[in-house]
Amino acid sequence: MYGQAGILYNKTIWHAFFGTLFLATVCALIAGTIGTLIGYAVAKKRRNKWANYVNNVAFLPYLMPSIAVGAAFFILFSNEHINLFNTYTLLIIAGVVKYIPFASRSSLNSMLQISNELEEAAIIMNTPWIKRMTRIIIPIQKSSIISGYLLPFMTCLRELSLFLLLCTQGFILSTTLDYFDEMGLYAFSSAINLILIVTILVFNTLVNKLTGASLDSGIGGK
Amino acid sequence: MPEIVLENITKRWGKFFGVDNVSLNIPNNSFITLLGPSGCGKTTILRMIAGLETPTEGRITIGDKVVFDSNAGINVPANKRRVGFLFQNYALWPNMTVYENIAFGLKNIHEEMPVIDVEAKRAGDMIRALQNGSRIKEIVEECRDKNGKPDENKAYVKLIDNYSISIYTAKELFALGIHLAQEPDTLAKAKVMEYEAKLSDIKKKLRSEEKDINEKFQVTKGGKVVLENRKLTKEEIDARVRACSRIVKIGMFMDRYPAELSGGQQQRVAIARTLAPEPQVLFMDEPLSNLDAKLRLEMRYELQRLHVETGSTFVYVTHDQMEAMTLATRICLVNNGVLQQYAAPLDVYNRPANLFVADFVGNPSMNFVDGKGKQAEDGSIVLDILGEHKAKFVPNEKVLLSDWREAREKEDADKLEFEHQRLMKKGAVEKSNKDEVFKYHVQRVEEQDESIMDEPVITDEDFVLGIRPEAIDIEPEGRIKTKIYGAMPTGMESTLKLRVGEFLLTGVIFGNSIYRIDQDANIDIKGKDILLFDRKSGKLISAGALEIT
Repeated sequence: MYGQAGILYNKTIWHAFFGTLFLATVCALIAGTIGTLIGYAVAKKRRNKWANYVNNVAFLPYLMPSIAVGAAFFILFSNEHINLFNTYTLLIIAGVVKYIPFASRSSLNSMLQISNELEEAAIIMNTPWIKRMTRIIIPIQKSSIISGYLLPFMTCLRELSLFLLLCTQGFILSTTLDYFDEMGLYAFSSAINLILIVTILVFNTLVNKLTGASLDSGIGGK
Repeated sequence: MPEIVLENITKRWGKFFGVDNVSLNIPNNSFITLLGPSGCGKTTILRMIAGLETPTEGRITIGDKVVFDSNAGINVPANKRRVGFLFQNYALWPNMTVYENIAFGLKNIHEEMPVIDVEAKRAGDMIRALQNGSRIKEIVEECRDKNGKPDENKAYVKLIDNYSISIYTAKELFALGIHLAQEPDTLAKAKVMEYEAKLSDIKKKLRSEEKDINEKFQVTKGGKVVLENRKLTKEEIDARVRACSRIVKIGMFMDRYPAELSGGQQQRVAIARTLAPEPQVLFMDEPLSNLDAKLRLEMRYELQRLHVETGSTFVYVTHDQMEAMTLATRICLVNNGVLQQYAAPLDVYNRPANLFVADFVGNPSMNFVDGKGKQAEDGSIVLDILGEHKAKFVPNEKVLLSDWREAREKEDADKLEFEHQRLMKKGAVEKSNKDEVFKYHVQRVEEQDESIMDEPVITDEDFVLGIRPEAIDIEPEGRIKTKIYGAMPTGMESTLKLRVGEFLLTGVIFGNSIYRIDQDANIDIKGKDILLFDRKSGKLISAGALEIT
């Protein structure tokens, strides 16, 4: 245990760092897309009882403690029939389910702001659905949809309790941090923490600069 | 070409009937307004024809194509109905510039159309523009900014407007530098030669393939225009966008975003966007309601002109009776989801079918006067009106009241029977928003609270007279003695409130005389357009003249 290479030279940490980045990116992309579509669908058919049902189910994971969701997925996916323990697949599935509420909420709010007529005007002109989404709906609500992607990404980077039961210590950064902390290597765990914070800040600034959307100006806001 | 037919269209939400069994025939090339108070179902009718709302029952035909039939289970989606729709709040896409807004719909068009040789068309346009070199120089000279440098974008727009060319051709034309030459005409001549050579090259090449081009630069084969399923080319899209923006005069705002335009300009962009795909039917949902009074009047003229220029069928929704009267070839009045009258504007004004129509159309509103009386032998009806006055109503055409009542009762019975039959069917729902006879308003000096009074017992001797304000005339010999209760002179005419006993009448007197409040005035009721309504059903019995005795 002692005699670890310094954090910037430590293979375990770098491996975990890229693992975290990969996981967060994939989770954010999937959860953000599904969440946006849920928001769109629910906003379109607000009176429909199925729409409400979908909306509530999508929100459910938010109400449960992360560790409980993690435990549920652990039991579901690592038994004698399927064993996904310590794979990105399992982490991604768990992450996506957990983070859909962030994306669906922010997207639902923004979709409700778009007047239905904007889309009807395009429908009348025989515009296919995919073009309506990419050329009208998404550009108009660009900032809140990007928030819908950004929130899962940021949260996923620092998530520990959800993933704690689902992988070994060197797999992603937060479990690695926890591992070093418990082993008493506080300098290491603090440094990893710093890496996380700097990463989050860098990404936030990058997205901010590139798209004009940001988390600090609120979800669904301008 | 498209004629729109609605047959027994019903739209309901639960027990609320938004539109109740409406049948309508909209002829080709007409301008129809759907008129009614807010919430009466007129927008719903429009949205159902456009396909944005699904009727509960009925059948809609556009042209020779059935687009909706509840029995046959046909429902053509809105995007396949090939109609244009102008929304009340314009619904411009805020993330696109004016140009992109108009061009967006054009990019989706994919249908059979003549093949056009782009190169040849461009050459042809250049030759046309280059005929007069000094004119081009003039146009560009007009666009110099304060530093004396020509403003390119402004020059492009000017060239486009002058020669009806696309932006690509305009750029090419500008790049030739005619405006820089000492002798623009000579240079232009030389360039014309070049382009003519180019054009004949293209023709030669086409002829080698046994094809040719006609004067519209459409490729022909064996004397016939070649048709192809294709999308519009960039040039064509540009040309159409420019053409539409020229109609509504927004050529100079092409690069602005909707948020950077005034209400009237946004409205015009919305019109241009709707016109660009050249729809044969154009639906408009209260498009002028967001504009100020002056602009509204101006846009009204433009819409009228557009209707003539485009030759399309217009269906227009409004709650403004003035707009409906002035624009439409026919007005369709709706109340509580039920069609009240469908006729030409002046017919609606002069011969309203019932009390609701009479009250809704016309400003200032019609005077309603309760009358009690019987029909005399000669067909005239003697009535007690306005307290102590007696009047003789002489209908323009002979009506026998007993026959009329019989017909009315039969109609009511038929309606009841129809409703009964409908409710017998499985799944039929009772209308929760019941149809009632319109409660007309009789003007009095002391307003009565009708809600606390007993319902009057209405017999067959009860009538309502409808008198348009312009039928009232002040004359020294007038039979009815009144006092002026209020006067509103506007210069061209004066709107007067006249007091007769406890009742008030509204009159419009033309000319600019001055009236004093409480001055005595004798009035007569003139003309043959006095209306007699049945009080029980609210329906028009006849129009005629009124003699006060």
